[in-house]
Order: sequence, then C-alpha cells, then structure tokens
Amino acid sequence: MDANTSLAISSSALHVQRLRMDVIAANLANAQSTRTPEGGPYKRHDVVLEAMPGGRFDDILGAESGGAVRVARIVEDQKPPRVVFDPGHPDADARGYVAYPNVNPITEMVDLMSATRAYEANVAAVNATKRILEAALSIGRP
Amino acid sequence: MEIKDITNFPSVAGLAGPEGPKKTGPEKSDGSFASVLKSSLTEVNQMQQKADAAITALATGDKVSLHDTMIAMEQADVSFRLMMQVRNKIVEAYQEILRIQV
Amino acid sequence: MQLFGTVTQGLGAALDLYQARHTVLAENIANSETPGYRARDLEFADALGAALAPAEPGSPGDPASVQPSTPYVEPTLDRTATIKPDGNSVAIDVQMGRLSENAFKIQALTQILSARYQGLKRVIDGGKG
Repeated sequence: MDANTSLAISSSALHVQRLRMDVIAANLANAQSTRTPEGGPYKRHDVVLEAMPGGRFDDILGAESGGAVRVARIVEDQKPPRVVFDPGHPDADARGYVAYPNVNPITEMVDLMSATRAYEANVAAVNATKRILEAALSIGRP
Repeated sequence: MEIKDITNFPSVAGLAGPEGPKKTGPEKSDGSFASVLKSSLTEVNQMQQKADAAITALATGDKVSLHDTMIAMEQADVSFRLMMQVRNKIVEAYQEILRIQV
Repeated sequence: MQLFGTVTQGLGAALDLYQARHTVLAENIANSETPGYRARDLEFADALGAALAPAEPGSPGDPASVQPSTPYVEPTLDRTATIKPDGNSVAIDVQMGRLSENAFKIQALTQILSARYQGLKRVIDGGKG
C-alpha cells in the first residue's frame, strides 16, 4: 500500500468527523425547539458511520479512490421527548405538558469532544504520512 | 673478451624470474577486466530499465510506493557510477602499460 | 542522435498533467461554499500511460524527433462526492487530501527529472569529478 492511499483514508475520516460535528452543533442549536415542520419537538440526530468499501481490509488496500470510512446515514434518535409541565406555553398539549427535544447538552458536549479528538488524531495521521513521503523523497539526496 | 651469462652467477640466479612477460594483459579480449566491464554494463542496463519502469508507474499512478521508485533510481545510479569507475581504472591501467619503456 | 529517452521526455508531459490537476483541485477548494458547484477531478492515468509507453520498434516517424506531447484531458465530474442540500458537492477535507497527494507527486517527479539530467551530465563529463 502506498502512502498516497493513506492520505485519502485520513481525508475521509476528517470529512466524517466534521460531519459529525455539524450534526452535534445542530442538536445543540435545536435543544429547545418544541416545534418542527414535521410536527412535534426536534428529534436528536445521530450519525451512523460505516467502514468502506466492504469493510474488509483487503478491499481498502486495493481501493482506487481511497477512503476508509463514510457516513452511512443520519438517523433520528427515537427516545421519547422530555416532557415538562408548562400550561402557559404555546405548544402545551391538552393536559399542559410541553414536549422538549430529547437532546441532553452534556451528552452532546461529550460527543463533540470525542469528535474533536478524532479529528485531531486524523490530522496527526496526515502529518505523519507527509513526513513519510518527504523522507522517501530524500533517499539518495546527499 | 668473453661475455658470460649473468644468470650463471649464484648471487643473481634468483633474479631470473618467470620466463617472459605475463601472457594475459588487460588489452587482450579474454582477460578478466573485460568480462568484469561487460557484466557491469549488463547490470547497469537492467537497473536503468527497472528505474524507468518504476518512474513510469509512479507517474501514471500505479500502485508503486514512492520509496520503491527512489530506491530503484539509486540502485541504477550506484551501479552506473561503479561501472564508470571500473572503466576509468581499465583505461588508466592500459595507458600506464603503454608508457612502460621497452 | 537521441539524447533523451522516452521516460525523461515523458516526465515533462506528466508534470503538465499533475499541474493541471492542481488547478482543478484548487478551484474545488475555492468553491467549497458555492451553492450548486459540483466538485471535479482530472483523471489522466490512461492518457499518461499511453504517452509514456515505449515506442514500438519499427513504428513510423523519426524516433529522434518524437517527443511525447502532453495529451489533453478534460476535467470530469467527481461522482463519488455526496451532494449537499445547497447543490455543493465539495468535501473540503477530501479535496485537501487530494491536493496534498498531488503536490507530493509533483515534487517527486520534479526531483526525478532533475536527477535524470544530472546523470546525463555526469555521463558526458566522463565520470570524472
């Protein structure tokens, strides 16, 4: 496997972590959204990551355009919404309860830190790959 | 005056040495120098072709590692320089022999 | 007298193509936020392979004057890129990765070409010095 494929692999991981951060940011921004165009409160979104192309390491070694991971799909968390008693709220139901999104900011922040660390780790992998390529270029240079 | 054979004197008998100059010299085609140069040339040619193939593969993006290409180039370079030095030494030796006063 | 082999001359064509790909990738990155912009790439492996292939023995034309000219390759749409809701399909990390890899290829090929010319000069100087 040549070092150029590992650049593509790291790039795909960087892309995936950035998407994950976007989704987490959307969750945090909508933590208080009690209404959505589809009706009901905002549902927390999550990303499902998939190793590609087929998950077998041999396939990745032979893959043309590189890339080792991608977002399979973005799913909605089906946990029930957080219910708060607030009869004066415009979105209160008949019994006075308001359904808030099932977003826990603490969980989201932990996910955000994990995504940031993963992004940094992949940047370190990219830098290591570049150093390897530079070292190879210096073979024979006096 | 009678001239005696100098080698009959005991003190100089040991200096007689082998008969005549060596039969094989660097200018003869079956000598060892020429075969060394020839095998050197063949190896240099092979190395150059391997290096060419590695460079073409790198340029067209085939799955060849960068270090493999650099190593192939260095091997070609080293074998070429060795061949040049062998050639230079042979030429020097030949010229030196030509300079020997008869 | 043919002074330069196919590979030495072909490296010039190769560098042209890699440089052109650099321009396409830089354009992608510049348009990473442009709505409706679709990422593109330059695929030239086959065209370059044909240009670098050693000439068939007995082929017509004077071999001493044939120099591989740079084949013209059109940029193609990158079909592996996912299209975002605003129509933009540039994933900046992926494009940066490709730009990096391309830049290394250019650096490597330039160095190889330079080494080739050094080697030729050494031959002409007779191996002395």
